[in-house]
Amino acid sequence: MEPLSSSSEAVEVAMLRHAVERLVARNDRVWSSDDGALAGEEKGMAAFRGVRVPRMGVGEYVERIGRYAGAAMSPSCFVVAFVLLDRAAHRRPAHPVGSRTIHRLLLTSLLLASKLLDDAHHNNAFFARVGGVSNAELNWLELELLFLLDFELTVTPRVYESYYFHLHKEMLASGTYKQRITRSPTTGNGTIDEDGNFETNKQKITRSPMTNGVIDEDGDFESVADGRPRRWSLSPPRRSIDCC
Amino acid sequence: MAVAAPGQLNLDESPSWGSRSVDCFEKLEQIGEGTYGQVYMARETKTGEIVALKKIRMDNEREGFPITAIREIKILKKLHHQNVIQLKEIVTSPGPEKDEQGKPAEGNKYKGSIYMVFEYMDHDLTGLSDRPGMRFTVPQIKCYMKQLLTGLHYCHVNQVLHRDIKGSNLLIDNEGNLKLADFGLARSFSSDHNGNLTNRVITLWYRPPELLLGATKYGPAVDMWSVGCIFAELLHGKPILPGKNEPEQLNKIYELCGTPDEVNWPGVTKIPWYNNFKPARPMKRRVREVFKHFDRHALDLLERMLTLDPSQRISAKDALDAEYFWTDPLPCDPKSLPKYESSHEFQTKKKRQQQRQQEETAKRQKLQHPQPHTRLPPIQQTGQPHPQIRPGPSQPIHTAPPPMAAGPSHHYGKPRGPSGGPSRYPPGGNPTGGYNPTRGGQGSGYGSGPYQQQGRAPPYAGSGMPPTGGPRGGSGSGYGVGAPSYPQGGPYGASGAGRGPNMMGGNRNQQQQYGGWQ
Repeated sequence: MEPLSSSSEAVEVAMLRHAVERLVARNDRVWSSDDGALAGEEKGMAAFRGVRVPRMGVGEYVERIGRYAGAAMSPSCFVVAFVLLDRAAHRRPAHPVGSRTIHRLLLTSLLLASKLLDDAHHNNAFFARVGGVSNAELNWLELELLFLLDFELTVTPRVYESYYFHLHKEMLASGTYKQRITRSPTTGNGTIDEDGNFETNKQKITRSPMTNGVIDEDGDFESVADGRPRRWSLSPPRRSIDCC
Repeated sequence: MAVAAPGQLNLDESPSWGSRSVDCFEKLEQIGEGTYGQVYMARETKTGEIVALKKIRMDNEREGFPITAIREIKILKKLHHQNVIQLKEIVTSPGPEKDEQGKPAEGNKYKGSIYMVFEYMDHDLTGLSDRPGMRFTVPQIKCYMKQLLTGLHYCHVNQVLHRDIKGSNLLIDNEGNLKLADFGLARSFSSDHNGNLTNRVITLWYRPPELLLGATKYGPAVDMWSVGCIFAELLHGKPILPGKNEPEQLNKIYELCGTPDEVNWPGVTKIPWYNNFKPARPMKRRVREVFKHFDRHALDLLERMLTLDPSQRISAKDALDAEYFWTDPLPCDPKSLPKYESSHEFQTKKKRQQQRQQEETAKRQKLQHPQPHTRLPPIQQTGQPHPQIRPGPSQPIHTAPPPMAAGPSHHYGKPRGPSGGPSRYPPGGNPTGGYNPTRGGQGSGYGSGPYQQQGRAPPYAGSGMPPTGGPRGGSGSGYGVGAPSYPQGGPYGASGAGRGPNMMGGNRNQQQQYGGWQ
């Protein structure tokens, strides 16, 4: 399926999609099963692991989030989310980010990125619905990620830029997306300044992203009759979540 | 492993935040209450260190972890300065549920609460200045203003806008140090100002005209307007622009600073809501007239802070160079300032409530037994170095002990005259320990940051004795400082917790602000 955007608006979405698809493919090859010796561990990275690989591939999953939540998110959120995801992965080098883990990790990273960057952002309830987890679970995952990252949330311009080009490279390497990026990462939707953070400047979106009425050709995951994504869920988490 | 990392990350190996439990602290007393939840003074059991615990309220399921807390933690993690509050760590409290071994049930770590641990500060500026009878001296005001500007300059060079500068967010310890707190509305900005930022920030009374007119591109100048309001408030004795709503706020600004036009503020007519709030008639700027009792240098500085056009408004850096800070009486050494019994807006409000009740009772009694001369006497204008205590027979109404009553750990032998030099407040008198005021301009707290020290000589050199012969703690009060106009109930309206509306998105529109600790 082609990325929803050939428009330059969602280059970041497409880049993220390709990067995580390749990441998961690589990690799945290295670790045949991503639970391995980690059974019993419930905190940190293991918190993001579902009991089985979700039916929806991670590429589609990124698209889905982009479609429903993306309109209110700065495109740079998709880059910053990847920074957070990668940072988390490096904090738990023994825990592979495979196809059972990536969905929740990605969803939570995107939620955090949006909260960090956008003055007007969707709340956890919305992201939970789009991402197919319960509100309570997403709140719990958010805390797990914050503590996993040790609240290290600053993304400097230099780091942002290097990740941006890394993602771009990944996309070109995947060979499925030929569009050249002409737009500089520093223009358009955000700015990189000398010493501060990368910041986006998204202001209020008046149109609800859920009223887009985009029809999923698969007809599988969402109905748009009322403009809202139909409830569905990732495979259940490994244990019941009842916290927060 | 997972991905080729383009940048080197995760270098710090310090124990991770959130790994400790709140049980490492013993809660002593609640000192604040706000959108975040309660704020407590607490003691770390192991070290005895006094800290402030700010509970992060997690009960809004739809919002998850509060965005204000996320941003505050993120920003405070990168700011390290003696005039910016230090966030020490995050601790968690295990939930009530335990498994059979008595350990917290797996995964229920967050069933309980999450706390931010800050260094403890004894006062906030609003709480301190609301103390009955409190009047600051000129060197004291200069000292606070200088620290406020130094901290703010540090934020601004680090590309952080505070966006909620007001008295209750300026914390003061008993060493006289002032620190900026409450970065829940703060955000990074870029110097090219191409952003669309929300204009629903800064408590109304301290909100600059450009935000009231709907600007979404703005910069550090917004904080400087707030600083100007606080400066004038310190000198004047009460808030200078207490608007009830946004139109009234703008009108108060126009009445004081004149109406904006293309001459004094090029481009103002293009600001989004300019036409909605176009003044009915042009008004003249009256800052010098209204505040004619201020001294010349204070007035000069205030004029440049309360400049309508943000691009002409003075920056924190330039304000630190203003004559005001370099003429007699010089800013005093923070350490020479008097120590006061702890006061936070939260507590002073509580006290005032009690006081009002007592007054009510007294009034009823008075009706039955009229007494002569029950009004408070005016504050003495001269002769008192630190006339915080309102003299006269009215004290019994005030339920708290007099401010200068020495607490057990306080070391001031003589309550008068701040010029006693370093020996007046021995180093051991620092209850929190560990704080070394940076002297002689040796900026130390922020390592490799881009922060530039001010070029001029340190304001309080070495032993706190400037070359001109020492801080004029006492003798300077001949100025018309602190107009004797703290009515009971006060300009801060004991009833209204949040001093004016202040919101960002939907997250912070509750009246109760978590000022400082709150």
